[in-house]
Amino acid sequence: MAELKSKFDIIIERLANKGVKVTVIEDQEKNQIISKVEKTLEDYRFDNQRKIIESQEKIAQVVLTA
Amino acid sequence: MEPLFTDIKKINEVIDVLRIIYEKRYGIQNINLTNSLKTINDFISELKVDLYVYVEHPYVDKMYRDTYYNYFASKRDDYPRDTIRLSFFKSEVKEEDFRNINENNELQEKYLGFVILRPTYPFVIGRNVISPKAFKSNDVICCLVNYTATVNGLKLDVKGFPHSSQDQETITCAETTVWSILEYFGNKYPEYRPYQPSQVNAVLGKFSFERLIPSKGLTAGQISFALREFGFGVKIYAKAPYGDDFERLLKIYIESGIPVVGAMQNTQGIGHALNIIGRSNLTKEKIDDLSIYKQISNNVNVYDFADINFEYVFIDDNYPPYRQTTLDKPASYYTNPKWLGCEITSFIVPLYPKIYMEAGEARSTAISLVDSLGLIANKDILIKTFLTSSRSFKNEISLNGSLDETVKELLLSISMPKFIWVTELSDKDLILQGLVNGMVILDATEPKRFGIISALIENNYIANNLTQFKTISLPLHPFKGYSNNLK
Repeated sequence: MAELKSKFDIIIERLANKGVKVTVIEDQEKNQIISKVEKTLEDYRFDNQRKIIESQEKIAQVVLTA
Repeated sequence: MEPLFTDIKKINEVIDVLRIIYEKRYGIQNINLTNSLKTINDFISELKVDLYVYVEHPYVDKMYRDTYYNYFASKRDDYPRDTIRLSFFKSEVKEEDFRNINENNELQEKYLGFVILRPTYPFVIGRNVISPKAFKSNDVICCLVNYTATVNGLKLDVKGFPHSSQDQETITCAETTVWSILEYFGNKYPEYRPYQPSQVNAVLGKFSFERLIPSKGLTAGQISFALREFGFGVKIYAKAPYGDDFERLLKIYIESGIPVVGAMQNTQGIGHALNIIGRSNLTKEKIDDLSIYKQISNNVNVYDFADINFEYVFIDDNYPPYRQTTLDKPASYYTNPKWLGCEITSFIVPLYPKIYMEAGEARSTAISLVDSLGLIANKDILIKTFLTSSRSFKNEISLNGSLDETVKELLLSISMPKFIWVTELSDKDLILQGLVNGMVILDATEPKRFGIISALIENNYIANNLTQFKTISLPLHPFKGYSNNLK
């Protein structure tokens, strides 16, 4: 059965044939990057959870009369 | 119904025609007449002085008819059913132009929108959609929607933001704010539809322990509830918990082309809702005033576009549309001392329901990725985060003449969700020219996992191909930034 290549893979192949440097980031480095970003995001989300609850409480008290 | 009356006048002569219509057809006089004409005069004095106005009466306005049948008709006093409509043109038009098919394009080019005058004296300014170009002060970019109106039998289009003043009985700020948002989204996207005030009230009523008509005010929580009921994925933010990030997040959503509901308050008992829909244009002075947001590794100073102190565009039902002021002084255009000290204490974002990543997460992820990759060193960068549909994004990329063809093909070859978060990278000089030299694209439908789709950073295209990160070295010249959210 013929291989079903994605458009992205075809472009990458074409670039590689033209001599463009295509590097696959090693797993270890990739995992480090992902861990760092995920840690930032986790910290943000933890802090944000409290802010979401406080926002809900505050917004219920804003009476719009004007 | 009375016979149709029409007239074309220069804008400075309109009040005289309206006086005659009010006296002869509505039979109003004295204080009601004086105050109503003053309200109209205050409104049209914000418009350019060289406009021409097509006046017509009677006009059946769907919004006023809705409040008429649901409320005004049930009162002892007689309220007329019909309204007056004023249509604005940027230069002279004549009756015969409307019947000359060769003039159609010219009329379309001149047409700047309309305003309905309701017989709810003196709060007569009803539904209106007017192009910002009709206003004296119009150096702004904002969320606009295309509206079609029939003037003298001819269909004409205008791009504006729907606005109405309060009538103080059936609709106050909360209702007009919700109505405006629904009118905007309903006319812009097939996923939504516009609703009339009685339908807005019916939804608000589900979350109210008090009758809603006559309207005595609602809470910001009720606005949020109503928008959810109308199909939005609502996000709310209050100033107290978010602190310095509050304004930044608000600005990111506005930059995303989403009209945001702001709630402002002061200690004198004022509580008011309005829509914030755009901002003033970027100037060198504003960029020069920008301070560093944070420093990341490799000695990189990060400036944030969301720290720029723009004037923002407000749709306020106590004033004509497109009022401009800074977010820290949202009531600066109010002259009544009761409004002194007002500040925006919370805002409500009507999001598409399948946008799961919020603005703060997108911004943090993008900065963290740039930091972690460590590809930028010893320089200043300016980040600008916004939400967009992948459809609009890919369309702009396709048409971007300044973007390298290979980069363009790489960006267009990625499968994307319906909405994406984009953080553009540039610097203080590039942004003034509308140029950027990098970007991070995030999956707006990803609330938990690593949502990075791809990035362009310092001559590298980084593709997150689920199992692999691929870096492709490409010469990346500055290219035109995304500009489709605010127009």
